[in-house]
Amino acid sequence: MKISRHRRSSGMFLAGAAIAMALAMPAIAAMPTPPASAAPKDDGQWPMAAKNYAATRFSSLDEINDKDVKNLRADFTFSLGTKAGAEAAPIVADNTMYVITPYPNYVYALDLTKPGAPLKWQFIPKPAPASQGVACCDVVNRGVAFSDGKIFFNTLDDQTFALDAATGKMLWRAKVGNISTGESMTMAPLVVKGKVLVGNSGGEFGVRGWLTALDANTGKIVWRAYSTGPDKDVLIGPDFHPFYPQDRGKDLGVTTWPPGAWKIGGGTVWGWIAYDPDLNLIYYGTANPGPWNQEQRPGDNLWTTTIFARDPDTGAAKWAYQMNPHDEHDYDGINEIILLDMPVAGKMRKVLVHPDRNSYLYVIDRTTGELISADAYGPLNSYTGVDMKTGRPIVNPAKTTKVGTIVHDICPTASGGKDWEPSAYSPLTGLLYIPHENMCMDWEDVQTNYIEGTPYVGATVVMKPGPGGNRGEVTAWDPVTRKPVWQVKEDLPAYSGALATAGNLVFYGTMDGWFKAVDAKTGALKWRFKTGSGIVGQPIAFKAPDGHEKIAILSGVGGWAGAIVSGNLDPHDPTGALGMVGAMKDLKQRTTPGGMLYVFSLPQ
Amino acid sequence: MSSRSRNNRWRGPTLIAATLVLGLAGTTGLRAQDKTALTATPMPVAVTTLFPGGGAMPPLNPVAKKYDGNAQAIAAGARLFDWYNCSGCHFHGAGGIGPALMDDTWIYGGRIDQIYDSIARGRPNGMPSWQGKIPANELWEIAAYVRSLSAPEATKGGPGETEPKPSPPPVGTPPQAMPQTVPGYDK
Repeated sequence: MKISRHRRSSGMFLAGAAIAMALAMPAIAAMPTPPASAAPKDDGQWPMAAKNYAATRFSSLDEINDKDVKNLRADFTFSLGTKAGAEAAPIVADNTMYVITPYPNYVYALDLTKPGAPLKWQFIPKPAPASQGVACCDVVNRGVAFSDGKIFFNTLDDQTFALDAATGKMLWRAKVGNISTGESMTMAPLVVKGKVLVGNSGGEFGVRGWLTALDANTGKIVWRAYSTGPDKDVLIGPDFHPFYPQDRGKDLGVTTWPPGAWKIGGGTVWGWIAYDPDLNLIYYGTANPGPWNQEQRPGDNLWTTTIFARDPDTGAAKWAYQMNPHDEHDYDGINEIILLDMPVAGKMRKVLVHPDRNSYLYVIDRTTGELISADAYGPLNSYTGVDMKTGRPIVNPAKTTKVGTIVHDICPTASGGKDWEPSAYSPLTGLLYIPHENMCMDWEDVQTNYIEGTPYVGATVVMKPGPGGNRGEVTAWDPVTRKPVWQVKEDLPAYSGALATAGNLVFYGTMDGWFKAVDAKTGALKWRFKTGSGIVGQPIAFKAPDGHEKIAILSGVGGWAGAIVSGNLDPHDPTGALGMVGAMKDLKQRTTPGGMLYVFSLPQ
Repeated sequence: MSSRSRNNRWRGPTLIAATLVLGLAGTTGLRAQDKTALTATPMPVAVTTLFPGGGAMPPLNPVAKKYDGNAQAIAAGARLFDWYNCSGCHFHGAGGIGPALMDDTWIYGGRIDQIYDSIARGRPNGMPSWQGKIPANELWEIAAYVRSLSAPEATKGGPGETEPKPSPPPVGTPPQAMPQTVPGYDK
């Protein structure tokens, strides 16, 4: 692990910035802050994967801190009974921890009031085994959601479940998709105003993407917003006011595609959703267009790789911004969206921050959809910049993909400058902690046939380490100065989520199983623990019933980056797992599969 | 889904398959001779090595024997493997969505008739069933190719056989680069 510092002392700099801001605008705080309505005072619980609606993944607990973290030790563990990638965030509410496993999506409730947190109940949803055949990138699940005494989750075979959180008894289940059309579900639901928001996966199977709101009490569909197709399906109506002119016009979700191609064009919704209660808007990104072979779908392919702002009550779109018009590199737009109020050119703005797969970190006015800035946080040559007038990226013609030609060394890869693994934001340091990848790829488009329920990709890809040879990085990014403050280099992709705490710590895991705590201001390693398998999960912090802070993480390698281990793939064919095998040949020598929950605390 | 729309869904690939059959019939000789292969279903195969009271796998039937290790069948199978999107899940042997095919691990058996059976009938953990969707002779060719990915060099095929390339070239061009009507979406 190597750390590079990008300025002498972030603390000093931040203090300086604060003074400068105070002089310029005495009434305005300089530090970006999540809106209070979306990130209320910390109650020590962790009810949703991203901690709060602003998606900060920040815990204000500080019992475990940079001084005493060296004493942190395993408190209890719990076997998940599964071998696939354990990407879920443990959820804590009402003295109970809720954990969902990858397929077959077991849900466990652990009683935190008792020593060793014994099993309180378990729920076995029995998803269709055949659903494993339509999951592009391991059979993962990213977490349950707790709301109002209920647990909500999706199963790989396109069902949403609601359980009584106290007993594990099923309240309802809703079939919302169909595996025979290539649809699967992996995302963690978000519950907003009595509605359970869920989306589909399957951008590599010719799926038509959607986000659906289910009534939390009944499971009935309240609204569904497709990502492609006519305006009435996309829920684009009179309230839709995109910032950029190219996004205005009738049925752009049809007219920016070859005839009919939007019906199998992707734009799935398998990532993260944020919610601003003040503006009453939800925000999420749609995934890549399909097939990957761009020659089969000329046009901008709206509304794929697009951030939508929608009214959660009706689903009506308010604005949209497309990161990758006519995406040629599988740059899904599903990565996390963090809501901050922050100074921009001397004025406080309500923004969202989004580190996209394409390696740009976007800052967007979340009221209007106006692009404020887009800065590369990792190696990037597929674009040469973003036109601030139009909001469109400037395509590098040398890295456009073609049938019959292998285009070499495109950065970032299809898996992105970062993939789904979510960042954390600390309002104490003002830094965004981004776990990400440092990889490039060779890409050849190939003609592909659409056969319903099978892959619809049309590209032969081989990934490889990026500049410097390290495949992963954790970057602390200052959204105000638009620069990195420190970077930790990791040999393997940083494919776990990040957690920031008031103890001046940032937690993340590595794909060979180290769970690490680093100094939030400097990136210096403060503590580490070797778990049983590679980590691709999401760390959380919570206040246990005994009043003490605890940290939890799932270990269990897998996901796209770890599929070579969890799927026992053969390293001799670098095109395996959509080209990921090429970059991860050595992972089988570094770790073995197997899911386990680890919970850590200080000795009492 | 009505049977009509099911037929529509398969129109594209069937056309492609028909082109392939016409294109290859003269060169392999196998298709012309072996009419039975178009309709034949294989003998029921065991996918276990445990036979209570003794016993063993029956020997390969004559149809399976014809395809097993046949160079032309393997080459045709390599193209069909891409054509029917097998490579979308298994890639060029590494696996990804489906299991690896170039290693020496076989969940449901690595004999050509067992591989045929896996492709035709599907397997419960995600392998689709292709029987009735892909003609039997093509299923045999795909099975021959899959077996060649991991078989020892000696059994990989006769003269003229070339190593499977990472990216086998497609056969001809598809009937249409982009479907004018999208199969399966006629609602």
